[in-house]
Amino acid sequence: MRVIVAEDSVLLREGVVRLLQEAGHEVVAQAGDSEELMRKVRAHKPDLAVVDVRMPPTQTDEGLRAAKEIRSELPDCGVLVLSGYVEPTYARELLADNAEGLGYLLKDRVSDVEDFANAVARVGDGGSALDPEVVSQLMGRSREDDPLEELTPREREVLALMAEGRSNAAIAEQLVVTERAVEKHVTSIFGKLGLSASSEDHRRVLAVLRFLEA
Amino acid sequence: MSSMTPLRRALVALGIAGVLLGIATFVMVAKGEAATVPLLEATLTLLIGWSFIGTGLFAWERRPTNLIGPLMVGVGFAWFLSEFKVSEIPLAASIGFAVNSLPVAILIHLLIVFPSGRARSQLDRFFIGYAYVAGGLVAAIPTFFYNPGGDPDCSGCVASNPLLIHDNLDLVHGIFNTLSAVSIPVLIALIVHLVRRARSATQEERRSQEPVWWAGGATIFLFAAALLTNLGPESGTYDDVLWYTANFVIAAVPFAFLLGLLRTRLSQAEVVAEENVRLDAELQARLDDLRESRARIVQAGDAARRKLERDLHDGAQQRLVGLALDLRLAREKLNEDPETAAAMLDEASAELARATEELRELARGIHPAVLSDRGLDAAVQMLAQRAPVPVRIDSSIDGRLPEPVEAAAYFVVSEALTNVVKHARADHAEVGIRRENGRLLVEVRDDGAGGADPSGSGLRGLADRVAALDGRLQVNGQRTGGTLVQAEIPLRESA
Repeated sequence: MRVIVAEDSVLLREGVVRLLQEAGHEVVAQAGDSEELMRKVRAHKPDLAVVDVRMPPTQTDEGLRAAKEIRSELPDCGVLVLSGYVEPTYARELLADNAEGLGYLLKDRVSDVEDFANAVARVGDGGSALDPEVVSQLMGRSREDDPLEELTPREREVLALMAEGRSNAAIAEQLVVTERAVEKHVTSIFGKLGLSASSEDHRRVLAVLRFLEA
Repeated sequence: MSSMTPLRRALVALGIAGVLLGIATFVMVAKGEAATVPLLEATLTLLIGWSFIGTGLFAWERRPTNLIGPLMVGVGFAWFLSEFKVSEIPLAASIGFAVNSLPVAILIHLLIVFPSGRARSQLDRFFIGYAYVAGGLVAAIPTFFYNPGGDPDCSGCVASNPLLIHDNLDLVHGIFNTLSAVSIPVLIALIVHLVRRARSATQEERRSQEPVWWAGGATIFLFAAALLTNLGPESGTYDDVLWYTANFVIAAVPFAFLLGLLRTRLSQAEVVAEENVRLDAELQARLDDLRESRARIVQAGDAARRKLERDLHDGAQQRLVGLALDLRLAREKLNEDPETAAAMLDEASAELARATEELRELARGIHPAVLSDRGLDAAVQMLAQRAPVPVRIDSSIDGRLPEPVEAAAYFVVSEALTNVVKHARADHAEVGIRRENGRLLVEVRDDGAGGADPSGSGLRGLADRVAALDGRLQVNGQRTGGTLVQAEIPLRESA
């Protein structure tokens, strides 16, 4: 996979580049700010851009804006946004109406090499990756009549992993169950929450997110 | 929290002095032998003095820039002092004798400058000057030449005069006779002057002066009647009833002055001057509040820094130091026991994740990035999401607000929600945020136990923060069914 990394901290950028290379990806370019990123993305047309949220010049949310721009300009280029902290607000903005080819993860996640490589592969492939922290915040929110109470503990686990953007196969592997069992859980969850099932993982992410945010 | 203004403090002190002087005078007159009916005269003296002082202080307070109030107070005090002349204490009697005509002099001043408090013409100034020179100075001169012991007409007088310089009864009589001879035509001229002025008064002026004319006229009429009966054929049988009635009516005169004064509409300059006095007082009170809150803000800042320092040292730093140690140990195990080393490295990774997590939380507590990046709405959403009870948000602000306002509003909601969770045992909370008349209104209400303490350090700090933006914070914890925290913050760009 051809990847561009945009991150203003050189230390972290080089760490990410090394990780990606070890996972067998080709880092075609690196950028230190969003302008450079956009220029290089247009030039190299990579499969994936790994982007820090805060970059010069304003150090606020350049990465988010660049992500949206890339997604609308180059639909074949996935964007994985990394951030020092995650908030559902940003997830909602980023995945406003399409979770396809988009990821939003805490920077800390890069240290879990295997999981990070997984997310990179998923997003570069047109899938989604949402940080577990965002998902747990959304699921942990106190609600008046909490519909999640109807779910079994196992179903909650499955729901969380779905929201993170994982496929049934990945969920099965993580929970050490068969894919068939996961499918059954998914059907049950969608039935209990009144959601219409969707075959594509990134659509599923969006449906679950909308439900959790309502 | 407003403190007493300097003016009010002075007026209270004067009032207390007036009360004490009145009581002293009452005792003196009641015990004196010069009066026919001592108790009645003492009561009348007290009544007149106190009404002048009381109404004068009131007028002074209401119209701080007008001389009428101070003059009325002056008449009252002079009135008491002049009654000292019947005292059995020689020095007090001498003082009373010296200031005997002073109340009349001040009263004349009062009449001339009523109601504006200012002399309006050269003639006005002449009469006022004459009153003080004749009634205040010249009338006091005989005190130094009068020996009551040597006066055959003085019955019940004190035995001596401590202020005596030279015993000369002829000089005393001479001064008094001359003073009367000169003063009578001047007083007649003054009356003519005042009557002419009264006749040319506008409707507006008449309205304020009328009460004084009535009370003053009645007093003069009664005194004149009393004097006339006194001057009649049966000399010496002066009509006591008439005399005392006149005294009673005099006590009404200050009230007439007060009524007249309050009826005058203030001139523009006076309005401004009085507004200034009031604003001064308000400013003083605000300054005091400000000083206190500034001190509290500094303290709160220090306390927050101390807490931050502790959190960093005891939290993240400890973890990192421990981690360095673990890594060093894992390095040593690497060759002889790779399995243990791997486990130690895993443990170190997990510990590192915890340290990062802690730093993230700490950073959020200092200032949430969402607030600066996305504004109040998003930040409040975040708070609601993290609250352990359901929070309903009703916010109608679009776009960004001035940064200090956003921060203050955010911390109000944050602290209020923390309290909901900590103290209120509530089932849910509601947050309302809206703009109204150039102000931001923030409300947090819960359905818990109530009883929030507005003077607790958290809410106190919030109140200071809001006050620093000229806003107000109200906490109503006594309401049945929960607590309501309300903040009102002006939406000004410069804060």
